Amino acid sequence: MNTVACQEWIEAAVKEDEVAPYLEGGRDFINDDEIERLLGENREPEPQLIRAILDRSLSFQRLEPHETAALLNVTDEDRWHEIFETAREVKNRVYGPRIVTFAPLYCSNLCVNSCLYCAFRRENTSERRRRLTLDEVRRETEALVSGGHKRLIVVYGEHPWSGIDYIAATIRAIYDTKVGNGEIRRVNINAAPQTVTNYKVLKEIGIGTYQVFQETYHHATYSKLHPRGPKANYQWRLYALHRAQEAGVDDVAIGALFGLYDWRFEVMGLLYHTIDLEEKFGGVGPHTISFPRLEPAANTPLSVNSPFKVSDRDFKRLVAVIRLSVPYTGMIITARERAEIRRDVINVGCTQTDASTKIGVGAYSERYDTQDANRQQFLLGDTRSLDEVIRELAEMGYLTSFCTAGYRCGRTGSYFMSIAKKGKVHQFCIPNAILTFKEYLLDYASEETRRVGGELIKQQIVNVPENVRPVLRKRLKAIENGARDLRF
Amino acid sequence: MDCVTRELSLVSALDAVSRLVDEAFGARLWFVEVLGRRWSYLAGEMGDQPAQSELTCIRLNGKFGLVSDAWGAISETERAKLIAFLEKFVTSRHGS
Repeated sequence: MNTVACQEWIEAAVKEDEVAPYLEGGRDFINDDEIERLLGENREPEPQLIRAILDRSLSFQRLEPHETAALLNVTDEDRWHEIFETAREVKNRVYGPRIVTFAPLYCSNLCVNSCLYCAFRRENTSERRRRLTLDEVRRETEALVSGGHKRLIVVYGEHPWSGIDYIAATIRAIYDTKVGNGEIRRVNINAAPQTVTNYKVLKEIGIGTYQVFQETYHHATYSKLHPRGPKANYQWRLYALHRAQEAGVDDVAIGALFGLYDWRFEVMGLLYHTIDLEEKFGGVGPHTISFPRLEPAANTPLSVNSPFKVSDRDFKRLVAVIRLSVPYTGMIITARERAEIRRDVINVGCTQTDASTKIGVGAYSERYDTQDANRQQFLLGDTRSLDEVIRELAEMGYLTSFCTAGYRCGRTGSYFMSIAKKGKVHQFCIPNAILTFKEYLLDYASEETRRVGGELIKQQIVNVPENVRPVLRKRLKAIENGARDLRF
Repeated sequence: MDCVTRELSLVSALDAVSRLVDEAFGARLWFVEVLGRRWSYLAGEMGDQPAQSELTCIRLNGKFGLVSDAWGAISETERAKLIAFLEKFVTSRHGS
C-alpha cells in the first residue's frame, strides 16, 4: 500500500456519524470536572462510611461514583487493610478461588498512530515491523496449544495491513489449528476501534471478548499523548465498545493504562465507562476490566519519565478499589507485572492472568526467550512458564482455569452478567475450572505441578455444591480415561 | 405451540417455548445464535446452577441452536416433534 492510500485509509477510519448518536449535546460521558469534584469532595471519609460502602460491594452492588471516590481517598493503613480483605472476599464470593489463564498473541506491530508511550508508534524507527502471515499465525498457535493454552488474546496494531479482513482471517486460522487433544477454544481480541459494520464481521466469526483500552480517560492528557492518527479521536475510542454492543458483540472489555494520568482519575473513568455501558445496553457492562501499568518501551522516553507512574503500593490499592466498585466483573492482571507483584495483587480481586507470555511478533514459534525491546510494545515483568505460574497459583490455593464452557453454550452477554451480578457464577466456574485444570495436569504439567495441582483439586471438590460433586467426580474419572472438553 | 408463537418476536417466541417445555417436561432449554465456536445467548431460561446431566447442544439451522441441561427428561418422540417445530420456526423467521 502506497503512502497516499495509507493516508486515505487513516482519514476514513473514524466515522463521526457512528459516535454522534451516543453524545449528549456533543459531550461524552466522561465529565472531567465532575470527577475532579467528586475526588475533592470525598476526602478523609469516615470509617463508618467506608464500612457501609464495603457492605454494598459484598452484596455485589456496583458502587456509585461518590462511593468509589471515597475509597480512593482513604489514607488510613488499617482501612486499606480492610479494603484489601473485602476485595479478596468479594472475588471469592463471586468467582471462587479460580484464575482463568490465557496467553497474548501479537499478530502485527504495524501502526499508524503516534501514542507517545508506545513502542509501536509510527515515528519509532527502531521498532522492527512485522505482520504475521496466516502460516505464521498457525505456527504461533501450535506453539501455544502445545504448551497447554486454550484461550488467547490476539493483538493487532492499527494499520491498513491489519484491517478487518486480516483480523478475520487470523481468527479463523487460530480456531482451525489443532495439536493432538489441544486447540484454542476461545479467541479474545485487542484491536483498534471499528465501525459497526466491521464489528458485525467479528461477531459472525465468533470472537470471545472484544477489548479496547481507553488508555487515559482524561481528555486533555489523551489529546496530548495521541497527537495523530485515528486514535487521536477520544470519542471514537471511548464509544468503540458501544458500537461493538450495537453490532451484537456482547462481551466487551475495558481498560486504562495506568501511569499516563492520576490513577484515581483513571479508576473513576473506568467506573463511568462501566455505568454508561450498563445504562445503554440493558445492564451489560464490561466482561473484564484491565489495569496495565506503563512499562519501559524501546526508544520511548515517556514510558520511563511519566510523572504519573504508579507505585506498587498505589497499584494494589487501585486494583482493590476497582474490584469493589464493580464486584461482578472479571479483572485481568498481566505479565507486565513482576512475579512478586502478581503474587500479592492477585489476592485483591483478580480473576484472570496470562502466563508463558511473549509479546514479540512471532516469538512463540521462533522460540526466542530473551526479550527484544525492538520487537515488542514494552518490556514484560514476568516471563515464567505456564507450568511455573500454575504451580505457584496452586500453592496459593488458586485453581487455574482454562474454561471456555460459557461462551460455547450461551452463557454470554446479558445472561452471564445476570448470573455474575447474583454472585452465582462460581457455581459454574469452579466445577469447570476443576475439569479443565485436570486436563492440563494430565496433558501438559510437570510431575511437581501435577502433584500440587492434584492435591488442590481434592481440596476444592468439597467446595462444589453437594449435588454436583458425584457428577464432577465421574467426569474427572472420564478425563483420566481419555475424555476431553467435558463441562457444566 | 404454533398458536403461542405465531404473533411474537423471535426472542419472545423462543422464551415462550422455553417456558412451555419447562412446564411440560421439567427440562430447561435455551436458545443461542451460533457464531462459529461461540454460542451466544438469545432466549430461554438456563438457570443459575449447574445441572447433573451433560449439556446437550443441538444446531437448529446454520444460525440458531438450542442447549439443554435436561434433554433426557423429554421422551424421544416429543424431542423429535420439538426439534422439527423449532427448525421450521427459526428458519421461517430468520432464514437458514
